[in-house]
Amino acid sequence: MLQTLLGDFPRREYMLNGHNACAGCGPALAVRYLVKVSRQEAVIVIPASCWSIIAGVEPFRSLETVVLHCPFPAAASVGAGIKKGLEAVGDTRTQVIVLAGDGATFDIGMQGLSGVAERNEDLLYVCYDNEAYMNTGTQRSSASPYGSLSTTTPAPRAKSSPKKEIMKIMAAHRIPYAATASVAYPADLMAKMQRAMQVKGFRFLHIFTPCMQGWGSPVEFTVRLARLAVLTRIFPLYEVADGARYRISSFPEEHIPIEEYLQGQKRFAGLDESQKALLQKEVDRNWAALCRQADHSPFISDD
Amino acid sequence: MQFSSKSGWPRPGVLQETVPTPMNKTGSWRFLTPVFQESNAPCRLACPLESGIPHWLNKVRQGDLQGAWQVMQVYNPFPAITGQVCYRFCEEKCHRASWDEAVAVREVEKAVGLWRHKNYRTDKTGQNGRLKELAGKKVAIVGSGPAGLSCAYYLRQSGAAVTIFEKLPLAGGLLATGIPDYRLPRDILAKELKILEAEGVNFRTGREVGQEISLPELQAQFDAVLLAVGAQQSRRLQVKGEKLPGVSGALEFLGDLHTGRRKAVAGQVVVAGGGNAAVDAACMAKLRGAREVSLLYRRSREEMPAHPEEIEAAAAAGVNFVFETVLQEICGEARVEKVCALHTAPSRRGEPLQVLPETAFELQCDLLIVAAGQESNLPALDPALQNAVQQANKKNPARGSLNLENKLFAAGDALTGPASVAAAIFGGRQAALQLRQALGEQPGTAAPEPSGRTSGFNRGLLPPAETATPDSAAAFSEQFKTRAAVYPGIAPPLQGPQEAIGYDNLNAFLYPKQGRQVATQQEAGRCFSCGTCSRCGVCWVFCPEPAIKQEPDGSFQILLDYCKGCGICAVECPAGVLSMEEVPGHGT
Repeated sequence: MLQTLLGDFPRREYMLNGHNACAGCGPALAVRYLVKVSRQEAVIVIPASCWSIIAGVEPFRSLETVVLHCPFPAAASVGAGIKKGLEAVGDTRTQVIVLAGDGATFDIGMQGLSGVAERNEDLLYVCYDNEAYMNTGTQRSSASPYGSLSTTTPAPRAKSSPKKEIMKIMAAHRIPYAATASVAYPADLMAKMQRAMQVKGFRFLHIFTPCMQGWGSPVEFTVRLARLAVLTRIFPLYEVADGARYRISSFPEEHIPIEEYLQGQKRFAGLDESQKALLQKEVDRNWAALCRQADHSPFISDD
Repeated sequence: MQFSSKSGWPRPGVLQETVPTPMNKTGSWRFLTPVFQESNAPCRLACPLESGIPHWLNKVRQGDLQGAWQVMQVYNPFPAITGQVCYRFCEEKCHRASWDEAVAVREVEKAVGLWRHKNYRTDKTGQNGRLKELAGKKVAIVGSGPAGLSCAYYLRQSGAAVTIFEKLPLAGGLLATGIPDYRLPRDILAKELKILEAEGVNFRTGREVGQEISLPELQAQFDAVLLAVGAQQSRRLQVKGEKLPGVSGALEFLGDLHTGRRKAVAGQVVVAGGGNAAVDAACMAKLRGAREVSLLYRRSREEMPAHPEEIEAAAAAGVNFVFETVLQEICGEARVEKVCALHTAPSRRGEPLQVLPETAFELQCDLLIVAAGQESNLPALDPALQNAVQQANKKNPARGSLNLENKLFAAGDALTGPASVAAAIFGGRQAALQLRQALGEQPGTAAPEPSGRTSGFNRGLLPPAETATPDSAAAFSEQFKTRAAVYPGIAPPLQGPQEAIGYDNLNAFLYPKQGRQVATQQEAGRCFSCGTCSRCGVCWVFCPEPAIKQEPDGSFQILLDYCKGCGICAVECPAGVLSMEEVPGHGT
């Protein structure tokens, strides 16, 4: 353990340096925290995504644990199958973690994910969300926010639909545990991972991982943008138990306008004032709804 | 591809035939390189002692008060005293004030000082008389005020035989006679003096240099002499009636009260002046029984040279302030009975004063305390000294202390005029550095201040002094010989113009907003550690490679073979000690 300003962190790294992520990669940072918690007691299933590359192109490996690469839409099903196989040979301890990007979660893997969630398979599904298909060069996904530019929604025709609310979809499946986390709050992220590892059944982590190349920001602002996303309430941190009981993990003290988050990201360069106001209204409404939900049916855990 | 299992099926676990990525030296992708450079915290530049405040606050944060004292004493040997009387120049400039509330540096300092008082014995084993560079050298210090005492502390640490000459029967100088006892409880001063005595400093109280023993005699008997006689000569007001009985200088009045020559104050007291001495005297008079105390100052409250903290204390004690007023005449037959005063037009400090003649009024007065400023005691000791000071200042100017002639030094208020306790301690420290050099120490043994740039944090938090004073007494004896030569245990003054690190360079968002804490350790933990690596590990936490590694000694190292130069560490570092720069030979 290393005592830091942000909390205590295990020193041991299970992610090796020399991996192929771009400089300032948010997903690489998120997985570094995750594998510090899961250690070597997990099988990681990776569909086509940035992490297909970061985990190592044959014969390289950057994770010191068992990794299985699988087809794009099949991650949840493959993970469930591995878990069943492990149980069949008597291994109930090893966790199976699916590590999928937003494309493989929100779009291409949606049916498998929904099926696995509905069957409540004993699986931990981690979605690292960088809000577009970044590995193939920034095509919009259904996780891309309203007003963002990509190669398939080029200026001036920015994305006109809002971001898909994946947490509501997962809550609607009434899975035992779902949570959002951000790379800017690693202690919170690792605590949620820890909690998810202890729950039996289907668990879902939605991790906000900025991609500076795709978003058009200076690479050093990965963590700053992730923090601003939480502080501006555009990506609130919360947990949902059994799809109904909510707990907000962090209440931003002051109301920072989303303008601060939007500026400096080239993907939002096309937004005019009225569109920003619309986005702000949407953020405020979502936050109010979340607060009402948390007040109405609080999630009080043992810890 | 060969599987490691003989059966031909993969075993659970990592396949050994795959290649770990560390053979892929991603450092070659880098355009910018994180560069480690510490800079000055605003508190340090505001402090008259130039104390490395973040350094010792970090020690307190870790709960290591002994370590905090070891760092502290390099800058300030009397934290218990400054923790009581300092005007908190540091807290005025604290960057944390822009976030929530300034760190209560003085309270933490006091806690370190009181820890030292309580644990003197244990701490003594590691230090006392071990340094022998000046063994056999005899130094006389004239005056036992803060400057003299701090010089005595440092010289004693170097093994010199130190004798302090004090004309009053009690030691402490202004600390004993000038500073009101509600600001500095006298038991703290007594304990500090007792520790110095135990360290081996000789006190000769009641021996006035110039009366019982002359300065040339002192110079003949000792290897070096330091004049730390302070500035207690009250200036005259130059008004009629100033020689009347019942008129007293502020410092004489305070001295009489503190030494017991004057037991109580009664009747109507008028104080003329607006400095700290005037406010202290007014406040003391009120607290010691005066019926009414009026303080006359020629300008407004905002223009008063006294520290606002003092003014508030006096107002709370019930002192009546009369602003924009000057004394015209002191009237009385055998002793002072009343004073005549005039109002003045509003003016700022430094502007000429405009008296309004038709506004004359009278004030009943049983005791008039004149605090029109103080002057150095040096000319009273020897008129030629004033000249020597000017000569030395021209030849070899230094802050806080001066080498007047061969083996004759001056320091503290005697040199600078009335300043603060902290400034006087700084003067004594400076004098000790100069004395060490003059008494035949090898020049250039003082380690330079941390500067320069590296990609390792190996120097990190620690000032060179800290590496020279290991925590345990056991480790001390072994490491002593090599390390003591490296660092003298006296902080050298900051060289040249210094700029404090800006608030923009810090990442305050990593600190929860919270007001001052009661617990010392928690309060110290509120320090942003501006410009000073506190080994908080934030750079390590946020490195996506990971290309930052912690060494066994707690410092951090950037693995340049793998660092892709994203710069997250430089943005996130809460202390602002990392920056991204183009380094020739790194990347493209």
